[in-house]
Amino acid sequence: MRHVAQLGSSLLVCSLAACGGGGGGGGGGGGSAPAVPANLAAQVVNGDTVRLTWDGSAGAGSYRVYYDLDAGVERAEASFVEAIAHNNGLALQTIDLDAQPSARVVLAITAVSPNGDESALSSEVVAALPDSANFDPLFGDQWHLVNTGQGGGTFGEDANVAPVHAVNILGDGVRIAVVDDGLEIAHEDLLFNVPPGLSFNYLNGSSDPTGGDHGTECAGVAAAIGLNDVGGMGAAPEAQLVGYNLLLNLTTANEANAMTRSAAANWISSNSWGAADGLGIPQRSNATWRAAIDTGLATGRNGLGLIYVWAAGNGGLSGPNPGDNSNSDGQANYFGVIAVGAVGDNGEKASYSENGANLLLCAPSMGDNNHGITTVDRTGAAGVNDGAQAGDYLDPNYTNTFNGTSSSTPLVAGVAALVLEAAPGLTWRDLRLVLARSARQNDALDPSWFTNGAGVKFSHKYGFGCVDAEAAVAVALTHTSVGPLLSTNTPDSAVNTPIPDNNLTGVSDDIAVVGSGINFIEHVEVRFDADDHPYVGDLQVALVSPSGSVSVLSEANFAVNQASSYDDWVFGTNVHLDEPADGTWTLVVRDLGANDTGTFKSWGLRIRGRN
Amino acid sequence: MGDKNNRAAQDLVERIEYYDGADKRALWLSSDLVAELTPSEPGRAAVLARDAQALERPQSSRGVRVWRVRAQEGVDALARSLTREQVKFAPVVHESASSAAPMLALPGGAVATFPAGWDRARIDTWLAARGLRVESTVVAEANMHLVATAPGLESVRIANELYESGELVACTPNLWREARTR
Repeated sequence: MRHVAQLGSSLLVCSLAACGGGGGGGGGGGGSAPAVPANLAAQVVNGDTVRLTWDGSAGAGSYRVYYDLDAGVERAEASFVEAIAHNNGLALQTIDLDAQPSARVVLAITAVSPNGDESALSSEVVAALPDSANFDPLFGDQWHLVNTGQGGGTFGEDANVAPVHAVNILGDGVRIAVVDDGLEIAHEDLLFNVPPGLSFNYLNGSSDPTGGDHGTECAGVAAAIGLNDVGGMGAAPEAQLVGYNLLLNLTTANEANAMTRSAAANWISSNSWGAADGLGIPQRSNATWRAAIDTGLATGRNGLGLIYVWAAGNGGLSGPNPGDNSNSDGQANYFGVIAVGAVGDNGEKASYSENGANLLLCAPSMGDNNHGITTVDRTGAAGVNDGAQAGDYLDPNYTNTFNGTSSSTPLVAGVAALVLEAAPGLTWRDLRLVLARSARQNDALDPSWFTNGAGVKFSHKYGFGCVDAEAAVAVALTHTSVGPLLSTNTPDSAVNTPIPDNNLTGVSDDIAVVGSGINFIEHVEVRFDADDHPYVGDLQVALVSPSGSVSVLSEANFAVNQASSYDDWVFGTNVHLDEPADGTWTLVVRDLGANDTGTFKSWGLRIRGRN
Repeated sequence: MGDKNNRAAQDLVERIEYYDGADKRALWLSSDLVAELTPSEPGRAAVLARDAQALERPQSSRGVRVWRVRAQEGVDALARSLTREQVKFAPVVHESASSAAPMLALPGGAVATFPAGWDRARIDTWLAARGLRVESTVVAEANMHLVATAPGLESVRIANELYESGELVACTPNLWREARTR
């Protein structure tokens, strides 16, 4: 296909470190370490401009950056014509350079001594324009892919896909199922990535699920086509897409079917939906859905396991009341799914994104400054871009307002596609670990971060951090597949103790785990019953591991406006990753609101991991 | 969002039990809501004739139209009476006794998981002995099939009977449920 050849023949965008390029560099740095400006990156925008960005506040000493944009220039012969920057202490330096098709951007970095002498540090091709005029006109707005600070964001707060794209890992060979309200399969920026006849319409049984604004937007985030003259691109611009419009006919049977449809060929299932947010009540998954997920994990992708990516939920609130917790969603807290939260272009949690011990990671989406995500929109008058809002694109086939954990989820699905192209032998458990271990600690000064008993950083706001495609691929390429999954299931402890009302001390109970053989935890489920307490919003539930780390499973939330109880509820937590299972676990239950009362009746543990 | 002191009423009284895996769970039947599962003009005409009122549903649920009705015979019977070929209605149910809780509906069918060793011929024979048939396969790898039933409480009764036979891995009524995009 045309777009494949184009992508395969040219670098799209890359960082200096990732481009490498090695030998033959006339101005190269020889054997010296390239003390280049921090976070130097080049990006092709609008087809005829190369945008250079770097962090001028980091690194020691002064340097100068030179460039040459001559088409076809040999590195050894490059004439460096202009100095463009010094280290001036500013965090974000940007310059846009005009270029022509087929041009290559050659950068030379020199160190500058106090007496003004310069010595070469590095000379690299950092970007190459396509051979023709093909480009993605909206790519420059896709800060979630490459955040150069456009629109006021923070440099580098993105999914870091550029270095992976630069080495031609684009999701080729990986198929993503977008389970949603539909997918416009003939959209100009999706068409060539949607194999004909493989999508499914749950209303009429056809293979055309066209009709969903939301699902189409999700598909664009995951795998819109790159370098095709229109729109932007997806995180995995050469991945295949299929759409299932389950949400238009969400029955128990259809739901189970959508989770397992074409499970050998679909490698990733992206799910930006779930139980209603904002209610604050526990909404359980059904056993049929769980059985389908388990089937997909066991048999999907020819036994390696289908990857289920799930939106953590948008019921979070700003202010002291946290709102919904993702652990009240029986799908997002299931072991078999990757729950994804949302961060804005400054790397901080979007206030709507729900906290949860069940989060695995987070990914960029619209944050509290309303800087939305640029993706495809349904063609023409259909869709969300009606041109009526200030800032709407003139082209109605695209939008810059996509948002929610809905947008974070297909971004992670796209990154997962990149990882699986690079390392297709990863099992679903391997991929979970790869994403957890490679996640970037965003918003690092936030007090929610702590280190668990295995030395792993976790935040109930962010999981293990923000998805990072470059790091994930790097970790995946050196990852050794983990051994068999072990599981230990404790008997329930019958506590049957009243929970003191409006009391910080609460009730606690211990369970001893002995001889589990699990030295490295991958996930913990907590069964909890307090079914006579009529208001879950009063209850804070916390699990303390033998290593001393704490999973906050339920937060007090006085915005709940319905009676509801924890009736044999199952929480999930990733907090204890890589800790040992054996030892004494403690569950602490506190009632932090006045009037409603109840009993801590029982609890139990199911711990999964490996030896 | 409301607050703790402004809690939705517990206004539903008719309780139904069904199996979710091995767990027995409860549903509460709505007193005045029916769901039109494939919204159509004939469907609209049929319910308007009953002096019904369409409720706005979220975009993600637009495959279903929910009607508030005056159903002296009960919503289960009304849904059955409204159902025609190509026009399907189901009673609305909730997972708690509050009509403010998220909605579900009973469009018909029971999702049955048969033992791994049962082939399709054995399944068909077993069902036929009970006057039932497979409508579609849900998850082939799990030997999970949708058994055809009428909409409404009949689907719960049949699902319960099949599970309580003790021969199946699981059997649960096919429930339509509200979900939202995020």
